[in-house]
Amino acid sequence: MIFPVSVAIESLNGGQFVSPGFGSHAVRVIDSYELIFVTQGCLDMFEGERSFHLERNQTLLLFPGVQHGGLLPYAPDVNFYWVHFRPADPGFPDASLYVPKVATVSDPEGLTELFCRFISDQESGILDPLSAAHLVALMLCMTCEEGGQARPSRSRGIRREQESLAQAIHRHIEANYEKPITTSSIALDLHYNPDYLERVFHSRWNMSIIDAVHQKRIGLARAFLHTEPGKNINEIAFECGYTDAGYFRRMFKRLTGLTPREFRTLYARTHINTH
Amino acid sequence: MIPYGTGEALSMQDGLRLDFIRPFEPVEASHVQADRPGTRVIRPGRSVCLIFSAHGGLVVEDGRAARELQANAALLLEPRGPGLVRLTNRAETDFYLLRFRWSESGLHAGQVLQVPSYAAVLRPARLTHLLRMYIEKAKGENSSEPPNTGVREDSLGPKAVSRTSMLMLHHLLVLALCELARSSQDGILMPAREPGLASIASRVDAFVAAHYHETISSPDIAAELRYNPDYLERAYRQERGMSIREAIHTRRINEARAQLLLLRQQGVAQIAAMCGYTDAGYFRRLFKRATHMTPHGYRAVHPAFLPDEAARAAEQALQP
Repeated sequence: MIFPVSVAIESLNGGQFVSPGFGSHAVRVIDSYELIFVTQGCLDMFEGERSFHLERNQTLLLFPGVQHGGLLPYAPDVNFYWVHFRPADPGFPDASLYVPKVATVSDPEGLTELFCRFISDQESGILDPLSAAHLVALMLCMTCEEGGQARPSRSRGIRREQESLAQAIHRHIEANYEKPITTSSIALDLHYNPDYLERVFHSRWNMSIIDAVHQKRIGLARAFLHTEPGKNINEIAFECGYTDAGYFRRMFKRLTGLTPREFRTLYARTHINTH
Repeated sequence: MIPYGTGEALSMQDGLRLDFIRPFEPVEASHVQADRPGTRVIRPGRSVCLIFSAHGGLVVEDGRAARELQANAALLLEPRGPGLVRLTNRAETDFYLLRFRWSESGLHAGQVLQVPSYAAVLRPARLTHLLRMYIEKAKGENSSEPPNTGVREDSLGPKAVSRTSMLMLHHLLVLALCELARSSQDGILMPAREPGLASIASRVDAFVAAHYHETISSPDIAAELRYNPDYLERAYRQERGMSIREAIHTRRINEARAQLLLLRQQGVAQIAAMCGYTDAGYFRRLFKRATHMTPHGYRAVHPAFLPDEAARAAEQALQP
């Protein structure tokens, strides 16, 4: 089958920066746009007359033809992804995207995975321009997404006290999902009947409490699989709150469609620069 | 200079507007996990169907022909008007079904993407990951984890999908189609080596890249990555054609070359220390062996490429 496509972006190269603990970003003028995504530590940059302080999970879009560079020496723990691109003429557009200068990403794992995918294929020499363009477009879309992962409720008639209880459960999960928690342990901690808790949570977030816990845990596991190459899968399972590694594997497969090992080798190659 | 600020403090007009042509409209996205054999009938109408079997097998009948779809194979069905398509899955099957419309209006001088109608998918994990993201986005605000029964299914139409999500769906779909197109090229684009070794070697490279300025050795890396040192050494050499020790030196010398030119005021001993050499004499010898030049000579043949002021600024940034 033949699909006519238009390419709105010409992507150049990308990479991952890992701080060597000294030096600072070169002062330079480039002829392309650059998207920077900080995954660890803080990065202080200037562009033209303006300065930017970027924290974890924030992105910065740098423009061509404007001088930019580092403001402070690299912190020892700073870690960011970067990609250069140019907008191309798409012909007669029917959709547009407004990419913010600075953004806090709502799905940092997803964006990290896109960068890994881009870099891995680039380093293996199999990144075709069409995929590259769409990957970068997808990255830019992710900087425009609003809100966190918690989605608003469908049901309208939820009472205020139930709303605050649903939020309390949500916060409890956020704070404790690495521990072996269950619906009944949460009910015990919050002093409510487990069935009532389950009903309130479900009507607000449209998923069961335990599914929400699994979602958080598997999200953490995904991040660990990429950032901790030395850890084996049993250890990751344990650190994400699973005492049974086999159970962890099954849940991982159910939520991501892949086994932890497949997920880890998804992006075998990387490109790291330190200046 | 404008004082420090994070994103919230900046006005929206600082961003970049990008225009796209979106010749695509999502119709359905489902992931079906069936324990028992089953049949479903779909009416594709004007939409294209993409079916990918992640596990198990299914038979796809479209009135003209019946096709058997094995695990890790994908099928694209062209729009066929009023006809019906019957999907019959075996027990223990796991497949993805995407339906979408593709219009050609507005696309004049664009490129074309040629996708085979049947493909044994080269990188099934990659495709699975893309389709998962697609389904996640298509679900939009109506997120729900389905009950854990014999047949599980996530499916939703285009309703309640925001404009950004719509663009993301479009980009994800093109990536999935690229993944299928890649599968038809008989793997010529894929590296022929054992994937496990490539991954191991790349982890070594990543570790070296992040730690070259520290005192690291091949056994340290093996301990860090939890491999037997001899195995790691052998695997690395097979994949990259050099020892890990050589790879560390290569990385350090390359970094030194860059730092020598970036930080022109620093002495050679300091550059050596930054790149993991405590013995400057040893560094000089290795540098000379690799580049056939002394560090000073290397600086001399590469004049400053940064304006003096910027170079000084970079220097100052280094001072505590």
